[in-house]
Amino acid sequence: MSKLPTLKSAKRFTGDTLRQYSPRGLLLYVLSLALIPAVVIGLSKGQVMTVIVNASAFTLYCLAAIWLRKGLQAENPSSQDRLQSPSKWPLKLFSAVLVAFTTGMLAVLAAQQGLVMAAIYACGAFLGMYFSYGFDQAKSRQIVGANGYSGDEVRKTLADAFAIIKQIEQANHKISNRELNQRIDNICQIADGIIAELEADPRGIRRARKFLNVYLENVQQVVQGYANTHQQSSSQALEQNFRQALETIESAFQEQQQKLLEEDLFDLDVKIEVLTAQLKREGIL
Amino acid sequence: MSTFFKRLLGFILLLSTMGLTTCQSVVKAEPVLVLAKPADQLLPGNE
Repeated sequence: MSKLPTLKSAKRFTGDTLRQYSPRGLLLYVLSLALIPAVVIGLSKGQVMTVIVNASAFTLYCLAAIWLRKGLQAENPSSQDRLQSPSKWPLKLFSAVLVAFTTGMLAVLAAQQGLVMAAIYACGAFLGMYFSYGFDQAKSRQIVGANGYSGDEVRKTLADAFAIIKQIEQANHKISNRELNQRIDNICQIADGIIAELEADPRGIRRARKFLNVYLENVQQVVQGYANTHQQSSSQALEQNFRQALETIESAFQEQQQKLLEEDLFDLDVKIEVLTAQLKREGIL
Repeated sequence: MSTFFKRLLGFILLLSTMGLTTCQSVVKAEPVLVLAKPADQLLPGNE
């Protein structure tokens, strides 16, 4: 019986991935496609005005579609995006206004309708955008400050930590060992969980700050370093060391998560330092 | 109004305004519906 091939580049198909390929808002691109033949016909006939009007309308519709999709994504952000500063602009409203304006302009200049008819078209398009996609809702929930840290400081710390986790995941894709991939995935999931807990209740931010700023970065350096070295040459000793380091990291992360859950005031700083020293001794850091 | 009907109405409105103007733009750019020959010339015996 033939063995199944290993999927080195396989990724977890999460809600974040699905959201990236959501079809919502693609209708604007589809409806504006008819303008491409109009531009081509204008070019072939040498009609400058036809080309300019239709090409401009196509560009504006595409811009409206981009704004709309960004606005839709901002309403239902992915785990990392929700920690970014929320957009100041009402993108869905801008998109609806742009679609209405472009439709009105197209009705007058390209379809040669009267001004009243063009206004009706514009109003219809605006209403259509409103009914289909709605307008921008209230801003995403605020993260409250705690332990002397403002909400923005907490948000920034957590967003930076998320960025490091992404880097660890990217480095993990370069490692072609399923067992190690799984361990690194577990570590990332635990770290994700810790950040989600801190987001919900930032009171533990002071104790977790070192974990987020120093330890996570050390892990990223370890994984990145191994991924680079492993691609050049494979050594059993190095792999064994790396495996042990991952086990240590995983248990430290689980402990950190447990402490946060229990709201234990015991500081993990010392333990973190001991683990960092251990990693250095093993020549991994 | 339920979300489904709201979205359906929005879809119809967008299709009938934006879709219609874009299609009209193509038709105005290339009036394909205009016959190349008068209709009576298309009758049998008059080619």
